[in-house]
Amino acid sequence: MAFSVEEVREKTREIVQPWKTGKGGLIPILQKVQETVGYLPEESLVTISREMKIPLSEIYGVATFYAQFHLTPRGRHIVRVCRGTACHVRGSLKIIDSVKKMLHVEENGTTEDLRFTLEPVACLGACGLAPVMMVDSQTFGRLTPDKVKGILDTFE
Amino acid sequence: MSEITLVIDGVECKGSQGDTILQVARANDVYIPTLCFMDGLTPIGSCRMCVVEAEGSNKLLTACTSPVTEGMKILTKTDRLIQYRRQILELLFAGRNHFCMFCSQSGDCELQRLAIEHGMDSVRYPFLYSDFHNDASDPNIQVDHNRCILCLRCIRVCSEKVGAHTLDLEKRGWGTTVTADLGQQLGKSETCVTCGACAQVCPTGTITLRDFVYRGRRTDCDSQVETLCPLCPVGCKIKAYVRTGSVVRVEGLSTASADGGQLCSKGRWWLPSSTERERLAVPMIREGSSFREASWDEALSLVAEKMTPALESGKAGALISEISTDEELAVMSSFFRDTMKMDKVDGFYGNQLRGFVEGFKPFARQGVRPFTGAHHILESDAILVLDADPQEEAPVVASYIRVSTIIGRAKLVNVSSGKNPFEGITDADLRVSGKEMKALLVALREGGAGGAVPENVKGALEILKGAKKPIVVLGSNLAKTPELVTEALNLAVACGAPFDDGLAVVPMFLASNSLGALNTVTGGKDWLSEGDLDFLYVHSTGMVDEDTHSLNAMTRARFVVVQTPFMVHPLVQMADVLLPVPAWFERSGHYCTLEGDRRKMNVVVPPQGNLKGLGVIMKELAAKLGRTLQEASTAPCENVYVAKAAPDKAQIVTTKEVR
Repeated sequence: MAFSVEEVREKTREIVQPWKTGKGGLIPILQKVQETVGYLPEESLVTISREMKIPLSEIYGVATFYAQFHLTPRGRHIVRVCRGTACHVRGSLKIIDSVKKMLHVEENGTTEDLRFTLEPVACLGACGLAPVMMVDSQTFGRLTPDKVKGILDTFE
Repeated sequence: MSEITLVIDGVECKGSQGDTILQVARANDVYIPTLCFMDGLTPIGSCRMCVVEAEGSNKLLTACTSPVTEGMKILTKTDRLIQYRRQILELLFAGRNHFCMFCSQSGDCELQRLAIEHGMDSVRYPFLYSDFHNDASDPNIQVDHNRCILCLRCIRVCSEKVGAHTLDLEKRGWGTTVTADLGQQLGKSETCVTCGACAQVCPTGTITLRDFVYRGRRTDCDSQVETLCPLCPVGCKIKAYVRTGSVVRVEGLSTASADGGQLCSKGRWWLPSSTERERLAVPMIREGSSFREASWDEALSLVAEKMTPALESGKAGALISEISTDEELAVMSSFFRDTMKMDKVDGFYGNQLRGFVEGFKPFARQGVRPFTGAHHILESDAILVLDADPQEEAPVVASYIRVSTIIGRAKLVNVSSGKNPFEGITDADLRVSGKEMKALLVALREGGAGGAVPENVKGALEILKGAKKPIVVLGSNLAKTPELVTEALNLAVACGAPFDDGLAVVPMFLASNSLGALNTVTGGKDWLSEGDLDFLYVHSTGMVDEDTHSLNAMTRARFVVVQTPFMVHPLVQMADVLLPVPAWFERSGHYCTLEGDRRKMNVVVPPQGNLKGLGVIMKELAAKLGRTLQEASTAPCENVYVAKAAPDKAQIVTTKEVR
């Protein structure tokens, strides 16, 4: 899914096209670019700015305001480890630590091979299964540190 | 507009539909404290200092954003409101670094003033001691984010008035900061035009201009004088702050005015620095490779002695800066033209002006004013920029174009032989050589009726066709070919949407008082290159560098008199006699601006010592020559291009009658 700079510009231009007339297109454009490219590269933001005549700083402001947007590449799989109260009590810190060690990443970091991004979250709403983590849309509960490796190995 | 009656603090007030509570309160002398609000910028109601109570409603209203309604009863000074305001201030103080004694703006700060006003002697909340960045990357503008209260004034002025929109917010919540472009430091920004408007509107010590900070606070200054910036034809109204005889800072007059109270980088930095430049204080006479001081009497006698034979042989000339006031231009014109009967008189930008005048001629003959106030660009829905670079020529015009394009959603067509000065916001960009320009202008005017239109011109054509209020910006370069000026005006006429004051055209004159020079000092033709002169009288304001064409003529002339306030190089090296004149801050008079009005320049610092006004010098010189200075026979500039016919009566002309 790695695109060249020129491909990124071209794809961004395609995405912008239907929104060029009228207002209110910025967030849907950013979402679509992120969906296509995986994150919001600088070339995309510059292209959007020029095509839509929206100042670069305004786009940057929107992109940094919403947690859903990312300005750096993200992994193919997002690992969300819960550190809500219930999970904390049942040892989520150890889970996070083992993920960090296994992937060699810090919180909110991405592995060099772009396989995983680790994102601790406040609560996943599955306190009955604590400690919990999600990989993409799959939930894994009642975790212990030694279970983590087996789970992560199933994601390529 | 229907009138609305309401009661504010027991006083019956009248307002109009759409007015805000704050507007009505201010119009009726009721004070409501504000912080993020700034006249002329979109109110956002974010600081909540202006909250007021409305009878019958438990909800507090922000006065700057709430419209008035009939019969409203507003209270602005209840105990509850005063408590709330004080609480807001305490939270602001606790949030970041607002330890006044360490801040260069202490005493000049609106946040500090409000805290004192609200008796805020302590802060009940724990200080956050957040560690934000102090951005010192720009050589002129310093941004200490630790002192930012996120009022967004800088962001709004940068977007709504300057049109650069360099600044915006980054992130959210506690971590929110003002940032430039893609999260850059200000000094690395590609969109910043270094105009300093952000610092002018900053209510705290966040954005400061280093030059000004070290020259003292506004409150330290001895006087403030309203005058105009004489550096370009826009003639921005400014407030000049004076301290111990120096201009220490300049600010745009009002964010609520058409120009948004902005200044460009030229005005902001050049004007205050000019009081510290090396002055010419007394007349000087050349002696070998250097100068010696002389009395006025001796210097003027020498000038008269050299001038007399040159006048007889017709080899005397005079070059006068068009940055002078109407009054100065009238004096110079009456001396050289009416008293001395010289015909070799011209301004430094004579050729450029003559080019525009020649191009305007067919329309002036119709009695139509061939251009409009520059701020009308803000009302346009399509802007055609013809071989212009407004960011260089008249930077505030570039601001108008950016604001109109980004906020007003106007379409922008750029036609130029070189680089597009508005890259990134242009809808149609046409690269043409000088030769192709005429054909293109005709094609645009005829809407493609004259034959096949190239693909890239179609876009521009559609924009102009679809526009209700198009406007044409003429670059100074265009004046080299008067025919193109006429064709550009033809195009403006064909678009059929003039403004009330003239055709929808904004010409980029280069000198600030070009319009005043037109029927005073500007000559009929270029005589500078026509052979060597025995005597050349040069009046410079020392504000812009002389062009090589003029400097070459000075080198060739046998005897050169230079009148200048500053020791300007290389100009002073050309002189045989140097005569001091008052500088911009020591003069008063009028300028005819691109904005369509005649603006007054005032004395900011009274002239010192041996300086004489231009009128006195010329009168004394006339006496030395055995003449009496004549009354000026030429009219002041307001009579130039006075409209005799409504602009919508303008007819398209054939360019055959133009040279």
